[in-house]
Order: sequence, then C-alpha cells, then structure tokens
Amino acid sequence: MNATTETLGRVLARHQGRALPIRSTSALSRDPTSVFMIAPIKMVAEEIVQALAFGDPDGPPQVVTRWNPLSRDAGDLEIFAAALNHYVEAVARNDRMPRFWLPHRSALTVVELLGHRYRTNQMASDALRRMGWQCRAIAEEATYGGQPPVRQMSLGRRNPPSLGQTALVACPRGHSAYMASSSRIVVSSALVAGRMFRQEVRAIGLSIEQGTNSVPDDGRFHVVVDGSVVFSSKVRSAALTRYRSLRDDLLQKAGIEQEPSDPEETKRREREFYDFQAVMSESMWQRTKNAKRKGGKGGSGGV
Amino acid sequence: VTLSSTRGLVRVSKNPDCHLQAAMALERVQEPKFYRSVTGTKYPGEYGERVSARRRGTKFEASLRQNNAAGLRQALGPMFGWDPDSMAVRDFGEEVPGPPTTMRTLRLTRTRRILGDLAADREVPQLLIQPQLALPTGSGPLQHVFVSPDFMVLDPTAGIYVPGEEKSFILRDNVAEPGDLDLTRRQAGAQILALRAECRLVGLADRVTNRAVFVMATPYGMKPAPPVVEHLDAAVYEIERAVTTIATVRDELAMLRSTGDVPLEFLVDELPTHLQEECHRTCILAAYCEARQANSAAVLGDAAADLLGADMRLDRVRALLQGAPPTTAEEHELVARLMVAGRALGLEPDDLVRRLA
Repeated sequence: MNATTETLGRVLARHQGRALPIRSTSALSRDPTSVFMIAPIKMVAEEIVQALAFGDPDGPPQVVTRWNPLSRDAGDLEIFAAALNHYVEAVARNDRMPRFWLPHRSALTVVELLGHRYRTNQMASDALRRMGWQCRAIAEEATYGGQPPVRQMSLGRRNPPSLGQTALVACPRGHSAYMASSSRIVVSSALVAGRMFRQEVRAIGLSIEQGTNSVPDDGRFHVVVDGSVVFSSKVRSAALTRYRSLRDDLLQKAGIEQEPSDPEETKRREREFYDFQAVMSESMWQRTKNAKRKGGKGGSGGV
Repeated sequence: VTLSSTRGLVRVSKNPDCHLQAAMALERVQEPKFYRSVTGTKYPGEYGERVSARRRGTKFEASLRQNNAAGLRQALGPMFGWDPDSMAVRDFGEEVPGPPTTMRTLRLTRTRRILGDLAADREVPQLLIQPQLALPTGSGPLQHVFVSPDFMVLDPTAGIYVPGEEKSFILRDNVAEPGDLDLTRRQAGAQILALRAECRLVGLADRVTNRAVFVMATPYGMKPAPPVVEHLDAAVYEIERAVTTIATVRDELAMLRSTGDVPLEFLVDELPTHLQEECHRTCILAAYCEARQANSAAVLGDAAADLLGADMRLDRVRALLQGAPPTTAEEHELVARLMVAGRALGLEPDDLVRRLA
C-alpha cells in the first residue's frame, strides 16, 4: 500500500468511524499431527523465566514454576529441555515438519533469551545447552525476511493470575505458527484452516466454542450455556455479540459484578510484592550477617 | 514526573516544531498535573515508568558502582587503555548526596574544577561517576539545563572525558532494541553538547567529539556487556535543534506575558503545536491536541499529513473526492492522485462519492 492509497483509505475509514486494516492474513497449512506449544511467564522487568507451560496445545500443559528465578540453579528447566528435545527428535526421526506455537511476541523474546543464556554456558548441563541451541534456532528463524512477526493468539485462562503476573495459559490454535523442518524452521503467520476457538465464563457455565470436543465440528461458532448449545452462527462477530449479551445477563442474575482492571491496583499489587520481597530479603540478609558475626554477646564491637 | 533537564530536552528534540511541548519543558511542568489544569480532568491512562523497570535500572547501576566502581572500571579500563585496578574514581553520588535541587550546583562546581585541572595538565581522575554539566539554552543568567551523565571516562589519546550511560537493557549479540537506543542516544547527545559547553569555559571545547560510551547488560543478570562507543552526530544535531526551539519559546512566552504573569495552562491556545504519530507515544497531551485538530489532515497520521499538508481540512478533502472543483494546482494534482489510488482499491469516483455521503 503506497502513501496515497493509505491516505485515501484513512480518509474513508475516518469518515466511517472504522479502523483501517493495514495487513491481511493468508492461509497456512493445517497443523501437523504433533505440535509443541511454549507459553512462558517472565519475571516483571527481568527477562527471566518465572514459569513455563508447554506441550501439546490440545492437551493439558506441563507446567514448570520456579521458586526463585533469580537463582543460578536452572535445574527446574531440565523438564522443559527434555520435553522440547523429545519433540524435536521425534519429528526429525519421522522426517516430519515440527511446528511451535507461542502466544505472543514477548514469549518469543523470552525463548530467544533462554537460547542466549544456555547454549554455550559451561556451567549448564548438556540438556540445557541443547535446549539453548534449539530455542535460539526457533528465535532466529522467526525473523526470516518477508514473514510477519508473531502475533498474539486468543488465549484461554487456566489459572488465575497472581502477584501481578499474566495468567498461565493453555492455548487453542489461533493466529500464528512456526512451521519447521529438522534442518530449517520457517515462520509463518496466518489462520489455520481447521481451527479451534473457545472463550468461557466458568462461574456461570457460559462459553463460546468452535471446533472443540463439546460442540459439533461444523466450522460454526456455538454459544453454550450449561452444556447446551443456545445459539450458532458462521459469523464470529454475531456469535460473540450473543455471547456478550448472555454473559452480561447471566452475570447480573448471578449477582456477580464485573470490575474493569484498575491500573493503579495492578501497580499497588506490584509494589506490595516488592515490599514483601524486600522484607524477606532483609530477614535473610540479617540472618547471614548474624551467622557471619564474630565476637561475643553484645555485638561485634563488644559493647 | 517533571518534564525538565535532559528528559525535557529529549522530548523537545523528538518534535521541535511543537512549541507547547517546549514550553512545558521550559516551565518544568509535572505532566499529569498540567494535563488536569488544561483539560479539567484526571489523566485517564497509565503514566510514568514502571516501578519494576526503575528498580532494575537502579540495581544495574548499583552493581556497576559498588566497590569503588569495580564493575565499571573492569568494563571501561581496557577500552581506554587504563589498568582497571589503578584507575582513580570520583563518585559524586557519594561525595555530594542529596536531592537534585541542592546538590547540582555543588557537583557542577567540582566537575568544573576537574575540567580546569585537565586544561592545566594536572592529574585528574580517570573515571567520574554522576558528574554534573550545564547546557546553556540562552544567553541570560540561569538559562541552562542541568545534564547529568551516569559517568565520564578519560580518553588519554584525546585528552578529554567521554560521557557515558549505564542502561540495563539487554544486549543480544551486541545489539539492543532500536527503540531503547533512540532515547539513550539523544540523552547522550545532550551530554556531549553540555560537556562541550563546559569545556569551552576552559578552552578544551575542540577536544570534545560527538561520541559517547554505553554500558548495557548481558542476558546474564546484571553483568555488563562489553561497552560500545557510538558516534552520535545525528543525535547531537537533534538536541541542537531542541535547544534552539527552547530559546525561541522562551522569547515567545516572555512576549505573551509582557502584560502579566499568566500561568502556562492559559497560554495553551497561543502556542503552536505540531501533532505527529510519535506524540501518542510520548506526550500526555496527545489526545487533547488530536481532539483540537480533529478536522485537519494531521490526525490521519504522518504520511497523510505529508501528502495532504498538515493544515489541509478533512472536509475539504472529502468535498474534493465528492466532486467539488479544485481551486489550486496542488488540489488538481491531489485529486488526480487520490482517484488513481481509489481505482487501486477498486473504487470508482462514484463509489467514493457514495462512501463519503
């Protein structure tokens, strides 16, 4: 789109009060039988993994949470390293194309940094170094020319967020994907032909689903209340409108108030976490200091 | 957060045609407070740096400066031909602690004394932590901006200090995110100009070249990556333009207040603004400015403003597309180009008329 065409598009879009689409999607082949999803959570302001969910996106994820991500001990990543390597080796053995899913661009950055940290780290185990090389390969190939960047997928929430973190997720197949061969990984971004979609409010038994096990696999979007389909449409926006209207009604009937997230509250929780961490560190520092102290009662100065 | 010192200069350098922003920097306004006094409502979005990001930055700087700046000496010494273990360090953060309002002048005096010693060929420390510089923005008294580099390291071959910044951004294969680097480079540009201004006082200005050194983090925690020296002609040029804008706006404000001391919020409509896409990322008043210029081409983005002219009214563009006769040669050309663009989008002139009805 050149500047004049884009300008005309913007004039028309503004007049109609609509957004101007500047990028379109293109078709991507179906997922291969075996797919690997990596959904990391990083520590706030640190590019360090706090938790990882990984595995087949259609099944329950394997979850690794790290008690102290700042620690030099990376043993808790061994499980992920083994699973990743198992997947890569299996597809290579079967001469198939692997495919990796990541929920958003930040996840790719975290994977890339895992690669940087461990691929040549002499203190790391062989498995972690191999994981580093594999993560690096995924991240490097993601930047191949002509390919759009990874975009955020629609995510189903699995655990409630805590300490200001985003939720750990099990992701249905959505918008972006990595197609890979054992020797070369190519990034592609598009809608998958046979895709799956699900949003739900569990407290009121309401969901909107497409292509899941709970609804007919007919490509339509189904609005489900307590296990029964109450509305179906081929048009996602129509189904979503019905879903939202039902959600508001049911939430009201159930006496559940919806509160928009307050950025001030998020900041307050973040500060609370750091204050708590500071108190914990202080006590540890005091204990270390006391343990190293020399001299008799009354302190080092012998007062 | 106040819009003052280097932060203000950097902001002005990103949009030197916006005199309102320059006035905000000049008057050192607190942005959310100023927003409230202009619009009458509280700023609805999030504002300010994340606490956690600031903590990381502070932690990185502290790790470089502990033990008489051992981390910095190890990183910078070999690059400039110094033995890290024998480098002399003056840490003004420790020598003159305290809030900016009280410590700047004292730190500036000490920094000037060291530059004076350098000019007199006396021995000077190889590393200065948190030195203070002043960049003149006018010829009158107190018409300057305080600029504080994180450190300055002595380059023995050039016989002058090189300003430097410590940033906790992560370098991957010695490459940082371009967005992170843009602000850092402009910050360093202000430091180079301020150092040159200080050196002018002692006759060393010609030794100051447009370069600065950056110490950033590796992916491995707080460990510093190898320092990078960058030549920053473009950033220095941008900051020079910002300084010129600030001088102009100072005169403009003086003229507007010639009949009385009017608060800045009452002068908002008198000062020229220049809405651009970048405003939405940097300025708290971006949405306010956009609403004020809702009928101008500027609200369609930078490319559209370039093509149509920022002052072109949108209703005139719509009228032209709906068949109103062009009155100037520019309008003739514009209509012809837009019609071609319309066909590229599959829209004939009639379709355009219908869509804009």
